[in-house]
Amino acid sequence: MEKIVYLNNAATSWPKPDCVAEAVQKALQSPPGSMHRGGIEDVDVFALVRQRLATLLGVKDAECIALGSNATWGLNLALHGFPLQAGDVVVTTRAEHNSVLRPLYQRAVKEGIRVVYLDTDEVGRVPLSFWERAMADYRPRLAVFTHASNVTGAVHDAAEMTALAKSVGAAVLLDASQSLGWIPLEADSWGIDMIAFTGHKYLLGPQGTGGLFVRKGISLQPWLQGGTGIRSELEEMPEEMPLRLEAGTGNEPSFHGLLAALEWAGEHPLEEAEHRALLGYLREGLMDAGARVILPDGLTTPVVSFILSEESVADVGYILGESYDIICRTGLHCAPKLFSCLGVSETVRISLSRFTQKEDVDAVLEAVRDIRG
Amino acid sequence: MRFERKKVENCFADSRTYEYRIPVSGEALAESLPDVWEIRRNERLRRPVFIAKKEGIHLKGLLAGHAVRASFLETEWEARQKEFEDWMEDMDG
Repeated sequence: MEKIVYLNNAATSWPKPDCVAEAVQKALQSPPGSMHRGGIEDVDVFALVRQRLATLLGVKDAECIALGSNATWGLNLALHGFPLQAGDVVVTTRAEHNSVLRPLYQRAVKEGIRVVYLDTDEVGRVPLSFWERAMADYRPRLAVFTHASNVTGAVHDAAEMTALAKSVGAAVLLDASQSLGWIPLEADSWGIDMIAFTGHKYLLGPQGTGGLFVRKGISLQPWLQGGTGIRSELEEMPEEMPLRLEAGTGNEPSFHGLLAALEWAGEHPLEEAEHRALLGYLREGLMDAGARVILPDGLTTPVVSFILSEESVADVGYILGESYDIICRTGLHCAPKLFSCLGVSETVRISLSRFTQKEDVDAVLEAVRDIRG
Repeated sequence: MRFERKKVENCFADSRTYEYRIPVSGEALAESLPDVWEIRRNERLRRPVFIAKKEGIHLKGLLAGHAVRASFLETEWEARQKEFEDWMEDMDG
């Protein structure tokens, strides 16, 4: 079998550092931490993960990080749990993933909230002037935006957008699914109220890990309710975080894997210049091969979207996968509202990781040249 | 011809995609398609492919492979799928 060239890291990163699988295996072969002896020597993997994540998110209150299955879990907790009434306005962007769009749509239909979708520019980024005007015009209760487009890699200026939203009294929910582990975050100094994140993309952890940071003072109605291990006498979920949002038994083995990944990343800082150069090499090579490439300026994640004028996106993806063993993603990328802004109906998406080598990129470029003939 | 069918995940608007495992090669299947199909072969690729289209159905596969992928137009996918599968069932293989 030919070597697989895996370039779908914006969906799920692969490979992982070896220590991740080792940690998961060790956890599965060990008695679960929920034996609840609760002594000081017990390893509380969730607390250790929270501490690591607090540093990455730039927050001091690690206990405000609820851990769950993925960013979709966190976004649903935030979007269904945030107190909104009929007529309240939520401003968001056309760059959002369906895990933002669908919960908001449901609340609009069932509860009568108003959702305003802001256009992006042609590379998937909402211009600050649009955002500023929308904040002034709509004075939303909640502003929701993705830190980075999962289609184009364009990164939003989260600090400035948060400041503009806060200036009109809006709470801010940031979707950091595509950025955490690649783009630095300073949530406390920027004033972000809620951040949803996932462990299985640029944090290099296993699938089934993610969560939601909720700043003190923001009270979410728990969307999931159930056992919390303590305060079992209460009829309702306890007020204290993170228990308030963490019903049910946690995915302990996978969080051991995420902890290992976070420790590994701490010992192996991202070589930004090296990865930026590889991304530039991919972009230029695709353009030289005749592809129409979406080219965000400024800060980006390692994502490139492109189309070939003479082949359908579905066919290009099929050929890359079946004929060249190159794993990428094609279509709408679960961000369907974005494409009217990009001026294309769908794209082929290549997403790199810390482990992507120049030979992987060369394999893509060779394949695209072959497809174009 | 007997075949196995599996729904394929895809992230496109207005399409239903299925993969069919077949007992003949993609090349043999492509050569058996009726004239109404518009068929392209790309021999330049590492593993050559064929791509075939007719109204409401988009079909492709490796010429040397034993699996083909068919996308059916969302609005009439069940009828188009039945039409395609009926044709495959009638094919020798």
